[in-house]
Amino acid sequence: MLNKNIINRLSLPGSAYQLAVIRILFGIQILFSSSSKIFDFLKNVPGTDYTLTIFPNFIQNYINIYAIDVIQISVQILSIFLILGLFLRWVTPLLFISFILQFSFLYSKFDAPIPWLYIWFPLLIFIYSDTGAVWSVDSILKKTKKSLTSSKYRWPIELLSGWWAYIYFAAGLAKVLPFPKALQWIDGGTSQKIIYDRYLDSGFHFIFGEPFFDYSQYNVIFSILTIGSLLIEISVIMIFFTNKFNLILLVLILCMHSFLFLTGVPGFGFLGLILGLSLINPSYFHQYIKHS
Amino acid sequence: MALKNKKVLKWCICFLITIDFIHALIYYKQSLFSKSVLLYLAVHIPFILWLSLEIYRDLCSKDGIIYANFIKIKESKMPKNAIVAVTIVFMGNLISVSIGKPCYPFYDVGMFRWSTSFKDEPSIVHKHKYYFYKNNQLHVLDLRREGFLFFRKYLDITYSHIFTFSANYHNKSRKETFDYLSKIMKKEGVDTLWVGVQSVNYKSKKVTFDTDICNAIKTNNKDIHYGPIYIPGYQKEKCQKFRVNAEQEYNK
Repeated sequence: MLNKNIINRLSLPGSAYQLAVIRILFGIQILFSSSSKIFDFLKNVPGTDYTLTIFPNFIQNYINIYAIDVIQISVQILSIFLILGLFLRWVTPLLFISFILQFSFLYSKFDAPIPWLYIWFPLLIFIYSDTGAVWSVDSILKKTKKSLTSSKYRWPIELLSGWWAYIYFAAGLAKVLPFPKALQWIDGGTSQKIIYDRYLDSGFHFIFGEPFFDYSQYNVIFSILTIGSLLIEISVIMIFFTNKFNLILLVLILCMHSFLFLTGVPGFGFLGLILGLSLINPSYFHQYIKHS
Repeated sequence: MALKNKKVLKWCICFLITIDFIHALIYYKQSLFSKSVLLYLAVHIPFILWLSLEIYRDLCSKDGIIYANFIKIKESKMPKNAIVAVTIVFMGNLISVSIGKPCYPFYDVGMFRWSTSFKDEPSIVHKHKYYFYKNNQLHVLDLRREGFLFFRKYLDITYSHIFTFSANYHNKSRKETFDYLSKIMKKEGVDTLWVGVQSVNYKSKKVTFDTDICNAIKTNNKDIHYGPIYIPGYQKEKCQKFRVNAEQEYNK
């Protein structure tokens, strides 16, 4: 099983197309996220005030009060460059830095890892990888012939899949540690509380108009949902040891997100999908794009 | 290879036990010296010691697993700077997961980590929401609905679900939030926002919306999910006038 562990997979053939698709989709996502009115809104309201960032207070305050407008515009412009694949050598480090700064503003006032958790590590990887070998202005300008299946397109993909796995595995761990707490967690009370409290703000209400059953009383469905989500999250650790189950895990996680979307937690599904593209075998990607 | 597989599996289990030890220290800090907690913590110690010893032995050995994997990473096409950067990220996140505390951008991904025991809740849940009249028709400003790409009615796509979460939960009791929303809705031709109460009865499965402005004020308390909503001054004044008029009518 460990023959195809993540470290061994770093040296396998990759696909320049897969990396380019992920680059473009992340570019679009960053442009969308950085243009959100949340930044304008949080300049007017204090938001949450208990989150920590790596920046000392005086730097964080400077970003929050003085620099955020300039940083926000920089991220928007740089993300367009990322989508186009223009000047990637300079754009990727600049975008990484400005993205980290812009979303430190968000996290310092909004206690949730949306959407930066899924994006910042891929941006760091983009700095060191050749994401513009195809479908980029850079590749048109350079006109050099390259092997599009080299392993230099594989290691970034494997690291992204590792990041994807880390996010979900850590989420699972946080729920079960320390182990005695897990017993309380899997009885379904937490799922019930989320669905019960947020029903009137959820997709279930907006689509179906009425609850399916009495959410105020015990129902075994809550336990099933809780245990199911926990098993899915914990099982993604297999990605580090083998890539045999990548597609099944991707589908399971996307199903989980679809359900969360309906319960009123819509933030992670699309991000999970973009990052999850790294779980698809590069050879499928390469063959499909070449043939189409 | 089979032996190495078993070894890695054992390491992983002991590593989990080590993280559990740190989490238990934090989770049980109030009752750290109770017998049951001390016993629970003591059970971890042999595993932590064994893991430390194993890793030390592996690092000293020339054909150790860690060294072999380090060589494999070095031989891959991953640039040296990338290896350094990924190592820093790995260490940062490892600390964050181990202590169960985030420090942006390192994150332990602990959303919904809190555990609540199952209990029967009241069958009716109330949610205070802003509403308005347009062309003599009642419209409810369902903020969370506006954050969903396919459900939105009044706000454009830049008012993302992050914005609606912040306005609908974290900052709903603030005047600034109300002012911000009023400004947006003015552009939509809406002059006045009122606060009403939407309710769901889980027993009868009925959802209703009560436009009674005084009832909204009366039921707006800290027990509501994420606390009370901001109610504008003009709604309070109007409600007060209703009360005075009703009292005068009653006295007559």
